[in-house]
Parts: sequence; C-alpha cells; structure tokens
Amino acid sequence: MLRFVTTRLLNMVFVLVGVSLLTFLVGHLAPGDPILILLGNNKSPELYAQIKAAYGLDRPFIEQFAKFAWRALHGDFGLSYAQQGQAVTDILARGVPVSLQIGGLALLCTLAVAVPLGTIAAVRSNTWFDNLIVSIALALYAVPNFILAPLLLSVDIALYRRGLPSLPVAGWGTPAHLVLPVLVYTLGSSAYLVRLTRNSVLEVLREDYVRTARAKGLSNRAVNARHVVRNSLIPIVTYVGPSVAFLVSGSFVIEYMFAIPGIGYLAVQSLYQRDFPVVQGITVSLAAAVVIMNLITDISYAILDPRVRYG
Amino acid sequence: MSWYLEIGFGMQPTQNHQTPVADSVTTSDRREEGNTTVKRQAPSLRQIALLSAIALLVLATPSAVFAQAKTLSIANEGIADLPSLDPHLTGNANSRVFTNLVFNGLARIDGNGKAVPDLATWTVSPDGRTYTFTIQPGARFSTGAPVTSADVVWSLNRALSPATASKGGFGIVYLGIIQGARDYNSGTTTAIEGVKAVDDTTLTIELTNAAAYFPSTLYGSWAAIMEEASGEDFVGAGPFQMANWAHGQSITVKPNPYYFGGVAQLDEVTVKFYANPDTAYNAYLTGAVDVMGAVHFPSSKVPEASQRSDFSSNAILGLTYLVPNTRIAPFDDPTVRLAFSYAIDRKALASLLGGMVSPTSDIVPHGLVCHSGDPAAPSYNPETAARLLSEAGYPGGAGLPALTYTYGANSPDQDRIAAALQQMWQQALGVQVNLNAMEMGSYLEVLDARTFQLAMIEWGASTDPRSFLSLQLRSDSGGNNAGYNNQRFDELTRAADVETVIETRCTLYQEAEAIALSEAAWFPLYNPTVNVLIRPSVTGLGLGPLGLYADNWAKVGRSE
Repeated sequence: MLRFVTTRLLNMVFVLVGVSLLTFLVGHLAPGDPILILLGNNKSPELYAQIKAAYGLDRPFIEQFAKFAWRALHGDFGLSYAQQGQAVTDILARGVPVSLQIGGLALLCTLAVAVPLGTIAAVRSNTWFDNLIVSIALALYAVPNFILAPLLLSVDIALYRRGLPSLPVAGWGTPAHLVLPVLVYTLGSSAYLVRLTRNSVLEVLREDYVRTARAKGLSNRAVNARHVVRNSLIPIVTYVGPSVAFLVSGSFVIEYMFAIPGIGYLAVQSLYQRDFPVVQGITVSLAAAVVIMNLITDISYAILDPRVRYG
Repeated sequence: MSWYLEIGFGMQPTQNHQTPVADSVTTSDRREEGNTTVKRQAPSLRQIALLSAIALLVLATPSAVFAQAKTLSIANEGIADLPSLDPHLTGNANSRVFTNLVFNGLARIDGNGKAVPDLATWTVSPDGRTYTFTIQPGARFSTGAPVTSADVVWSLNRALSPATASKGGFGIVYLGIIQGARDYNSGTTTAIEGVKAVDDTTLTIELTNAAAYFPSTLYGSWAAIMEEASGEDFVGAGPFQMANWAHGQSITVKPNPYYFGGVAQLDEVTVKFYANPDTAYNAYLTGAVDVMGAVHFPSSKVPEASQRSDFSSNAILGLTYLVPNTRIAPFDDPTVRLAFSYAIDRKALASLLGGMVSPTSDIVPHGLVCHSGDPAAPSYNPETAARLLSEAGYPGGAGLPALTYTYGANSPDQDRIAAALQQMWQQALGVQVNLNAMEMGSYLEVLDARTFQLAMIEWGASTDPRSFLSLQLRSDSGGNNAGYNNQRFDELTRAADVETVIETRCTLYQEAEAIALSEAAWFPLYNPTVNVLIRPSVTGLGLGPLGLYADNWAKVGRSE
C-alpha cells in the first residue's frame, strides 16, 4: 500500500509538469494577444511594446517557459495580466475557498439527498415511489442548470413582488445567499446520482451473496445495511472522488448567474482575456486536485472492497 | 502586490466602527454593577463619569445609527471585480463607475458634453499652446490636505511614467500632446518638460502645439489628481473616499469630509459587481441595488424595462461602425464601398436591437461638438446602392470576389446584426456575404493585423471629434483599421487638431468628415445608448453624454 501511494505521488509530479507544459504551450499557440486585449481601444505601438516587455512576453519561448517553470516550482504563477499587478496565488487564495464552500456544501446536500433516495428506490423497485423518484430525477437531469436557475429566480422575484419572504437573487456573504445556488447545484447533480445509486444497488441486490444472506434468514434491514449498501458504494465513490476535485475550479454557470466571487467565472474570464498566468494557476491546481482525489478514491476502494489489494 | 490587500482589508466598513465602542460600554457597565450592589446610595463619582461618557457617546454617534443611513448601491455589469484601484491604469466604463466617485481631474465633462473646470480653472495663452491652471480655493484631498500644484505635477508625471505605462497605463494616448510627455513616457527624460508648478496653487502646462480640445482630455481617470504624500494609497480629492473592497463582490466608498463641492449627502455608496447583466437586473427588481444598467443593460430586458417609469435612456457619444479594408479589393474602390454603405438600413438595425441604439449616418456623433449631420452622408437607398455597384463594374454583384464580414461575437446582438446586414446586402446588391464570427480576443488581433475584408468596431464615448477623425482615419494613425489614406483628409485633420478658434476648427473637421463619408471610409451604423433603471427615491442622479451622470455627486441623495 505504502509503495503504491509513493509511486502514485511520484507520478503526480510528472502529471503536473506535463499539464503545465501543455497549458503553457496551448496558451502560447492560441490566437489572441493578451496585451491587445488589455489595451482595447487605447492601443499605440510604443505602449504595446512597453507592456509586452514588462510582462516578459517579448522574450523567446524557451526563456519564457523556463522562467514560468522555475517560478511554478516555487508555487508562484506570476502576476495576472488583467487584474493589474495582482499575484495569481493571491487571486486563487481568494476564489478557491469560496468555490470550495459552495461546491462542498452542494456535494454534501447531493449525497444526503441522492444516496438515500436512490437506495430506497432500488429496494422498492417498480413501486409507485420508485417510479416517482426515477421520473423526477430524469426530468431534472434533462434540465440544464442555466435553465433551472432562471426558473427558480423568477419564482423568487415573484415572491418578492408580492411582499412574501424571498431569498437574495445574487451575491455572497450570508447563509441566505447560499440557498439558491446550492439548490441549483444539488438538484442538478442529485438527478444523476439518484439514478447511479439506484442502478448500483439493484445490481448488488441480484448478487449471490445477497441471496445467501437472505437464505441464512437475515432480516431485510440487516441484509440491506450490512451487505447491499456498502457494496453498492463503489460506483458512487468513483463519481464523488473526481467531483470533489472539480470543486476547486468552481462552477462557471452558477458563479456567473449568482455573482459569486469564486474561481469558476474567473477561469472562463481569464481565457477570454488571455490572462495566461491565471489560467495556468487554475489548471495546475485543478490537475493536482484531480490526481490527489483519484488517489484517495483508489485507496477507498481497498477499504470498501477487501478483494482490492495494492501491491 | 501588497498595497491592494492593504486597501482591501486595512480599512473597515463604517458599521464595524461601532462595535468596539459598544463592547467597551458593556464591560465597564458590568464592572460598575459589581461595585454598587453592596450599598445603595447617591451615585458615585464613577457612575457619574460613566453616565456622562454614555451621554457623550450618544451625542457623538453619527445620526446614521438612529436614522436610516442614506446609502446607494450601483450595479457594475460585465465584470466580476475591478482589475485595479489605480485610476491611472483604468478608464473604461466599468472603472468609471468607481473612479468618478473618488477621483477628479483638473477638468470634467458636464451634462452637455463640454469640458468645464473641476479642480482648477484655466486660461489659455494667445498662441493656444500654454494653459495656466489655478487650483480651486478649498480643494482638499480626503486626508484634509489642500490640493497643491505639486500634487498635480506629481500626478500627471505618475500617469505618464514608464512604470505606469508598463502596467497598462494609457495616459499617453490622451496626454501625449503635452510638451515632453512622449520623451518622459519612453524613459528618455526624468520628468514631463511641459508641466511646471508656478506657485502653490498655479501651474502651467505647455503643449507641443495649440489644441482646443486639451481640457476635454483631462476629465478621465488617466489624468486623475492624487495626493503625492499618500503615493500609491490612491488618495483623491473627489466627493468620496475608499472604504472597503470586497474582492469579487463590491467596493464601498464613504464621504470625503473635505470635498470642496460640499460634504456628500449619502453616507455610503457601494458599487456591486455582476458579471452577468441579467443578474444585475434581477438584483434591481428585488431591491438589492438602486441603480443598474449604467455599464451594460441586458438587451433582452429592454422591452420589458422600458415600460417602467424608473427607466431612462440616453444616446452617448460613441459610434458603432463597419470598417472596410480599403487596402485590398474590392473595398479599395470607393464606389464599391459606397454601394455597400447605401445598402444598409440603419433604422432596421436599430429596431432589431429593441431601440437600444440610435441609427446614424454620421461619423461625429450627434451631441458632440462639431457634429454636422452631413445630409450627403450615405444612408439607406437600395436603388443608389445597386446603381453604384454596377458603375463599379459589378452589376448585380457579378464578378465580385468571395466576401466575408468578420465580427467579434461578444453578444447574441452581434450575430443578429451580422445576419441582418447579410440579408440587406443580398437584397439590395444581390451579393452573398459570408459571416465569420470570431471570439473577441482573436478578433482584436485580426483587426490589428488588418486581415479582414469588412469588420465592425464599437467605439466607446469620446469627448472630441479628433478621437473619431484624426485618431482613426488619418493615414499615419495607429488606430486606422480601415487603412484609409486621403491626403486632403490628413491635411484638414492636422490643421483642425491645432486650430484654437472653435468655429474654424469645426469647419475643418466637418470638411474632413464629408470627405471620409463621400468615399465611405467607414459605414457608420448607430450611436449606442445607455439605458438605466434608477430608483425614484434617488435624487440628483441621471444620464449624461458619457453615461451615468451627477452634476455634483455630493448633492446626490435619497428622498425617503
């Protein structure tokens, strides 16, 4: 196990170097010029040259990359082009906690809602309850969150107009501000997870060892709790692991619609502005999070299923 | 860099200010109780001291604690945060919402689009090259220090310094006319030669040549006057001062108690960021902001919002136009360009955008000094368009090379306009024009490299005809995307730039504009409008030629 973890952590270094090189290369080759975008209408050739030199963008590619790599090794992604003079690490330090908070809360809500509902639906498969849950989940799964959000918002605005209690439509800071975005997040991801849980539990219910357990005369409850639920967790863990990693990069749509100061909107905005230092910072942190979460997921397989062994 | 954080977290919002005071009262209160429970008698000396302390506190507490604090919140659409608080690095509509509150310049633009004194009044030498500025009596920074000519000299030098330029400061684009500004900006000298303090309240600015428009370049935040002693803490002399920056959410300002235009009636103004303009609209509907739309009003909400009584709309001094690439066929032929310009139904385009814009055939916008409204400017006439195209040798479009209209797809409106233009050219000229929507960043590169046939530019509000004519159509100008080259036009605009008699200057510009239009150097489409929703209880705030406008921000109040 220890050797497995060490190897994986060593691999992680290569993954991160690869990801940085790739992001840097793609940024370098992509059309669009950050300095032109920064200057917009106010371009003049001298000014353009001045700024380009200040950011070191006039240097040869190899030199730029070497400088970037050396800095990145020290956890420094340089200064943002668009957020003038601000360090990328400062920008990430402000945005990532916000995205983690909102995403983490949404993930907890999703698990709390979807896993029990999916399990119950599977245990009582083909009853009215199962049909209801599956239909709702299917309907929600078909509605993207950029449609769901305005729907909920128009209900909220209608409440406000009638002088009824309503929630803030946007912003950040109080628990009330969390409700709508977390709700949209949760509804969307629960729809998928309910179906995943249900299928997984149904599959386990058909296993021989479940039949054996029942044949031994164990009660339904004991069979479900001891044999079914734990064994059906593997696909769920596979789903949850990487989603935790993606919490780092936030949700573009939700942060954009609810004016949340997270990293999701920033990531997209930085691409438009060719703010490569920020893009690189976000990509590398996301890559690190994905690698670490995959490792944790693999380790948890071994805990959930004793047959899984890592040499 | 650390000073951003210092500004962000070092200053506290005003409510927080009250907490420590309240805490100290409770603690001493408790201590007092402990002493007096033993025997009841006449109030002790300590009790009296305490009571008077409370009384003093009550008297000293700002009335805001008792009465409803007068606050105003303004939505700032399209961005998630300000890129910087440094006024010398900013100047777009998003930044202006904030910089207008905290900073001011020597001059400002009034409600009629005219440059008027702000921090200083001025006189011009007979040759039009030297401006003498006298700082207004009583002008003070928010630290209480008077604004001196040394602060002005320092500020202008900072705005044009190579260090500021390398961070993205573009003051040189507007202030390059100051004697020695370019040498200083490029690092060959250590100060701007033409800016000199005469005494504490007087300074002279010498220009490379006479320029009647010079005061109108001083309104922008690129020429903001800051206190030298506070350096990069960015202390201004405007109606408000910085209070709190919640990154990614809002910026809050509080009154500058020393503002020479009077102390602000509002206790606090908060600028809130909404990357999505639709969100800002929802925030207005639910009372979370008092003003929205000043930077970007969501076009899909205009029909609904324009029915409201708190909606207002105003054309601003900008222009959206098509640029033909006049260096390559077929748009190197003025007759072909004219045919394409005559084929455009500008009114139809404006109604397509739900009345968000006002159609125009002119280059210099209506409302700007020297606007002519040239009756000969190409406007919609499909017959003339078809006739001109056959005169050029392409009857019914026969023989024309494949044509492509390239545009930056930054909103669905751009796609709708492109489709409408395509249809108009098809109907009037029988020409099939291909559409090429590009992501904005790549599009700017295409514009700069002039690798397009026909493109679109949205030019924001400007305060002088020079920005439209000399800076964008003269053959030697860096902003000449059309590659337009007409000697007579160049001569006229060069003469107009240095002309000091306003009437003569306008005549020169109008003649130049007429030439550019007669050769269809551009196809003007429309002037953008600013649409805003302002809560009826807000007084003294409205729309001006550059967008949101208050004659004096200190007089903006709430009637509730």
